[in-house]
Amino acid sequence: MSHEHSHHVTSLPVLFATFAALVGLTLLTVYQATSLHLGQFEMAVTLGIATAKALLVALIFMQLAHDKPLNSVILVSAILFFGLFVSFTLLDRKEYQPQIDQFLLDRDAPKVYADP
Amino acid sequence: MSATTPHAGDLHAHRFHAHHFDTQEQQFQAGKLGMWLFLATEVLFFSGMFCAYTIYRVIHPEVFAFAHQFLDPTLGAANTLVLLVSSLSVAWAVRCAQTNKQGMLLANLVFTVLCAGIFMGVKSVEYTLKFHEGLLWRSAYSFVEGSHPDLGPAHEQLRQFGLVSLGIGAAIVVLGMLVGVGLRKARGLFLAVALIGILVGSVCLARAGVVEEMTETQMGQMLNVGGYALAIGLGSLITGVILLGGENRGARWAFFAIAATVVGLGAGCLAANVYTANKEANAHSTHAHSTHGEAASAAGEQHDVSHDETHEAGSQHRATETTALVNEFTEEKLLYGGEGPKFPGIFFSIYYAMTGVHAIHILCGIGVFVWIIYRAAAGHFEPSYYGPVEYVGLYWHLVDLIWIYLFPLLYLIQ
Repeated sequence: MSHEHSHHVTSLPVLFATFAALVGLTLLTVYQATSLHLGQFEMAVTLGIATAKALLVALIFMQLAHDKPLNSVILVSAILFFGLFVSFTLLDRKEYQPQIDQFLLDRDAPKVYADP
Repeated sequence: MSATTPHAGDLHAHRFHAHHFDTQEQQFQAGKLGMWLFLATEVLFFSGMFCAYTIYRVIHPEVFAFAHQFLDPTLGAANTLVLLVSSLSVAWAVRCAQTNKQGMLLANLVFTVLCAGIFMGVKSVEYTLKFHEGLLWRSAYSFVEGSHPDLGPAHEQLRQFGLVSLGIGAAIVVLGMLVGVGLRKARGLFLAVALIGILVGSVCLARAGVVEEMTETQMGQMLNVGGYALAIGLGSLITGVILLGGENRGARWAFFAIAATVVGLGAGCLAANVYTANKEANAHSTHAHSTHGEAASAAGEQHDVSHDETHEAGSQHRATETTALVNEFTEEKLLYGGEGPKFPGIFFSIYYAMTGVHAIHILCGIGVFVWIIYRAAAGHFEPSYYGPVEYVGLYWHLVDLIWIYLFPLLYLIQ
């Protein structure tokens, strides 16, 4: 009981500001995907925005910013193993590079058949 | 639970203080640690699907470029906002428990399940329309490129589903109000009905699946009767189980929570249905323009949309491409069925796996929230004991977090 007052209580302005930031970032990512064409940076920007949102949720809504570090360590290690899993699986991605190059060529070639 | 714990003689012991914890603080932190460990397994569980997505996107970017036209970013964004609002209300609910604001605690929790219902409603519209178009997982994929299946019946079905959901929601509110007036005495009856309903439903559905010599109408009847019996059985089971609990106020609010979910489901379904129907009507009028009044406009698809509305660039593009590729029976199509050489069915396998498992998490979240709302209404939570609210909140935030990645990865492909 004596430790009860040490629990962090998130203030309402902080909660609402976080929510507003999350909504703003959602609108930003929709705008970026539908109106901007960033080419090769596309994926990085999309994932960057998503990660910013994820950090807001984890640090403030899930209170990791004010929690015991061990809980953060658990989450981060799960994500690290996720990264390990995906990157190892991606090692042989070049296997299909010829087909991908062919697709990119076809896609960028003028579409003669599109005009009847 | 109240006076029979080993700490009954200890005036300082809280009624929910489990005896194997030295202090309540230890109990709280242990529970939270357990929740975080579970969330770590959840991250790893979803990582399998994210890995499948990554690999397939890296080696077959063309499939994603093709398939993304079938996912509506507006619906995805709407669902994202719904989940974000519900995340806010959960975080607020934890705050209310910490500061002993009982009324706002209940309001926030019920609002959360309402949002969960809306999310599922929008999802049901998306899934139903895809099912009707044949945009299914790889083995069942039957969409023909350039075809425009008539979605009228699907929209009608969804409209009815939405309205029925609203009605059921209202009925559950009435059921909740009856709790204090003697409904509790009928819990045995509910459990008996549940048993019979689930038995009859399972037998009917199993017969429809197993017996081979059966006419189409018989099959339809079996499926109908089975579905309804199963729904009634499950409904009675939930009712009976809630009534088994000891608290009248808790039971009443558990019903209100379920009602809020079902009403949200109906509202989300109706809204998304109207939106998609209007969008298709716009696309159709564009299509009719570009092909000079083909069958599309005569097919009874008049959704009272004026023809001079601004055409979306996307649908225009899709329409012109359609006229170019008009159902010619090419060698490729013979070879690959209607699917074409790109196998978008695999994209949809991944799509259904990811969004489907995510939706199951939403459903589980609704179930747990009903339990939390039961306990909140029964007055179990206060500043010195609110662990369960926080743990369930953490789970809900993680479900939201996963959607934060799913949305751009599935809906916003360029």
